[in-house]
Amino acid sequence: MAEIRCPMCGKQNPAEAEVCRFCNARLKPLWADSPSPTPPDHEKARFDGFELPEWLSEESFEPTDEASRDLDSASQPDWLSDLRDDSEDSDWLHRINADEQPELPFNNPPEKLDMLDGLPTSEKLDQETTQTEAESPDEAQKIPDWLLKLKETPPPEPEPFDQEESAPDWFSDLHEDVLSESESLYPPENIPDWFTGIEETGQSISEPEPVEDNGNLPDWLSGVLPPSNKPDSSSEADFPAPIQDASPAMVLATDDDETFETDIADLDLGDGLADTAEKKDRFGADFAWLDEMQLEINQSETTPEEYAAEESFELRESVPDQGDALPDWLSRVSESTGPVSPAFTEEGSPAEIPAAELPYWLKAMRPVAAYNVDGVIERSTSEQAEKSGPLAGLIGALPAEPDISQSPKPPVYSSKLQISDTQKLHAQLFTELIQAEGESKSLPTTPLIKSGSLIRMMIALILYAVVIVSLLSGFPALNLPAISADVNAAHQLAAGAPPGSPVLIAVDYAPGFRAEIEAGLSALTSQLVDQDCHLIFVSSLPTGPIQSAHFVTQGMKLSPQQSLHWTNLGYIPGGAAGLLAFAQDPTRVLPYDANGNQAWADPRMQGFRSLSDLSLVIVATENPDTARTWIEQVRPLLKTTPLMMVVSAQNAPIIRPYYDSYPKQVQGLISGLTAAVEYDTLAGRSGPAGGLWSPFTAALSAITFLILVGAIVNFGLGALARSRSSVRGEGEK
Amino acid sequence: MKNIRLRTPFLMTIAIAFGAVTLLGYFIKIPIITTLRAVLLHWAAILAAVALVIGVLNLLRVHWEKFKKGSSDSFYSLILVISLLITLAISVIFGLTSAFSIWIFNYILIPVEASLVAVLAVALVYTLTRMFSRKVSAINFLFALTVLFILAATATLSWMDFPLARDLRDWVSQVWSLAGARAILIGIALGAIATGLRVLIGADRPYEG
Repeated sequence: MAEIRCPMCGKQNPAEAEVCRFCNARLKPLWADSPSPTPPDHEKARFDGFELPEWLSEESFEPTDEASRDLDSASQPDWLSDLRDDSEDSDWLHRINADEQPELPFNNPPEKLDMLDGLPTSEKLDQETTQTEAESPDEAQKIPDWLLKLKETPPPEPEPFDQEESAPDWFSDLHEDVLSESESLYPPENIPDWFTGIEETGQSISEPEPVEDNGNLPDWLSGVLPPSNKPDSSSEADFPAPIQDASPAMVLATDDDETFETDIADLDLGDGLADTAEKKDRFGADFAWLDEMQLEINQSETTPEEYAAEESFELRESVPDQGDALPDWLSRVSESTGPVSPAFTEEGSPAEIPAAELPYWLKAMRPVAAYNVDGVIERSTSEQAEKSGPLAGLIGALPAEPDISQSPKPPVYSSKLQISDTQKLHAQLFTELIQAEGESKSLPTTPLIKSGSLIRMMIALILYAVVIVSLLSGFPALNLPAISADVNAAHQLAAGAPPGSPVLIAVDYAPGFRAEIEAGLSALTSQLVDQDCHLIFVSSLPTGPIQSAHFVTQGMKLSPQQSLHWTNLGYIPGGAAGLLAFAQDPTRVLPYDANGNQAWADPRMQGFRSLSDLSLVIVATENPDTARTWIEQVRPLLKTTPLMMVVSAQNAPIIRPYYDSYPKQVQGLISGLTAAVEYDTLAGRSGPAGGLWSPFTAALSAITFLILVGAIVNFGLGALARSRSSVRGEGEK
Repeated sequence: MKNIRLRTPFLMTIAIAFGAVTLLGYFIKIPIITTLRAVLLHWAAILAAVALVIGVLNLLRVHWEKFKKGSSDSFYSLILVISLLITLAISVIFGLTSAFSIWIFNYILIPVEASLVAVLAVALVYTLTRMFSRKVSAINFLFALTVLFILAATATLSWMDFPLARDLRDWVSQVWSLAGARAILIGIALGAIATGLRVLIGADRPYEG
């Protein structure tokens, strides 16, 4: 007894029951008795000019299998099942669904549904084939000439696709897993007859074995078959040229063959049924039957659940790494492909199907089509073609290694530096410099006595020896120098000083030059003391007062009576200004002597109130600046009082211009020990200068000799060192 | 900073006024200017003497501070301070020209300075001989030859005591050296004039410290 499964509760009911005895749900929908559907006007408008084949226009799809209806019922949502119960509202719901169907870009157009409604089952295909052969004489007359020519030319024989040999292991295993899963889900007893027939038909199409019952195939299907399987019928004239080119691959396609998908994609036939108008433009008016043929083949290959599982699997496998890029609706569709309800009812016409309820296979195709539109599958399959190994030539095989590990080979650079000779030389020098930095250098040994210090000590010893020997022995006994005109003029000037007149003596020499200065000054003051002149000592140096006292007491060796003839006014502060002030008013600048007594109260100082009252002014200095200051600041105020300079030999060149000028700014000049000796010689007394003459001459001779010898030796050593350095430099070069 | 800004014009005015009065006293014989010039010069002498005393006290303070810090040369500072105090005490107590003061001068000051001059003579001889160890230029050779000639001629050695040597010595010392000395003096005079003018116009202000 045949039973019907309730679409709502899923329980078995008698075949003649119209209402489920468990849930009272209607088992036979009311809309199944509706008249044959007619496409809407707007759908007809789309098919204007698109001539369908007769067999396709006349036939209507009549699902006969009960299992498909069960699947359809099971896959329908609850709300749809409830709607089915309300048969009275089906018409307005159909209209609402048709109107509110969202115009998604990848949704299947409603006209495709109408077109596919006429797809025959495999059984009807066999019957049609028989009828077509019977009508072949008439049909042969309708075959266009171009198709006949094409039929005469056999298409290229496709290479037999040995799935077991060419497919990789993982692919075979995957295929077996899918088949076993589908078998487990749909045991053979649950597979309806119509599906079995379709599966057998698909088996006969996909297998390369020759079809024995070629006479049962329709013309359109015989054109799809390869030449070996193609029946020798004139019905092949119905196939357009593009289909003939694509037919071998389509024939080779199996239920899980990706080649079929790829070829369909290459032909741009699987990118959605909404592109019907575009396909029509590309392939002509006979395009629509190709889509129908594709649908038929898909139906004959797998059950709806298997197909949905395969499509989901293919989608996941083809885009393994882009799951995140899939849109949400695509993911939902992929997940819901299992319980897709069949698109056809057993007695309902295609026009009765609401537009929103797409067939399962169409829903399953939607993500694939959408993905093909995006070009992801084409790109992924084309980019993953194996180039070597046992999988060479396969497209879409999983890569043995992740893409990230297939980085390009790094460029190989030469390890040899390309440098010039100059750069090599610089590098070598730099290396040697760095190595020399690391080496420890021995500290130069400092000699106990350096050569310079030793030579200086030797010079000093020689000079001391010469001076001491000369002082002690009086050797060498040299002649006294001849009296010069300068000394003679100075002697005449000192001799002109009136007796008892004040004579100003400026002691402005450093203690170190005492011997040289006091030799000449002693000779001069001895003459003045002999002439009973009053000696007045001043100084512009802080040490002047005590130096004057030392000169009077130690240098002149005055007798007690002579010691009363001198006055020590002390220190004149202020430098040039002090000297000028002293020259203008000496009593105001130096009111006291060096001992603190009233200097100008002394009766011997009564005749001295200004410098012009002096009979002679003597300046003893070794400093040219001091001598110049006296000449420039004091000399203008002296008026007729002569100015005499007793200077050292080193200061004589500076003072001489004032002495040689006209009128003379300096009237007398005694310079150095030589002039002192001359003055003593001229005065006819033996002063300290005479005793110093021999050591002085010996020391000068020794110095001259040392300089001469030292210059020659050093010149020779320097020349030898320069020659050695030049030879060493040439050797290094 | 504010005091310096206020002080500078005041100091400039004083310096320029006093300098102008002193300078005019050289050229213009007006009793007022001459008297004023003499007063200013007397003040300068007194200020210089006070400055000398202040300098001595400052020297004493600085070296005393160095001695208290205990630096490496504090010993020399101590010697200086002690010597200064002893000399000052002897000069104040016994007089500036007393026998003690003369003894200090005769046996400390004169030998020290004479030794410096003697060392200078040895150093000059050594330097002149080392000059020939390097490459001798014409100028260096002429300088060394002149020095040797002057020394030998000044020494009036017997083998150098002949008329040609004496004339050559006088020609060198009284012509060449006199020309050089005059040039030096002229340069000094020009420099002194320029310095004086700069002080008078306020370009140089050495009194600002």
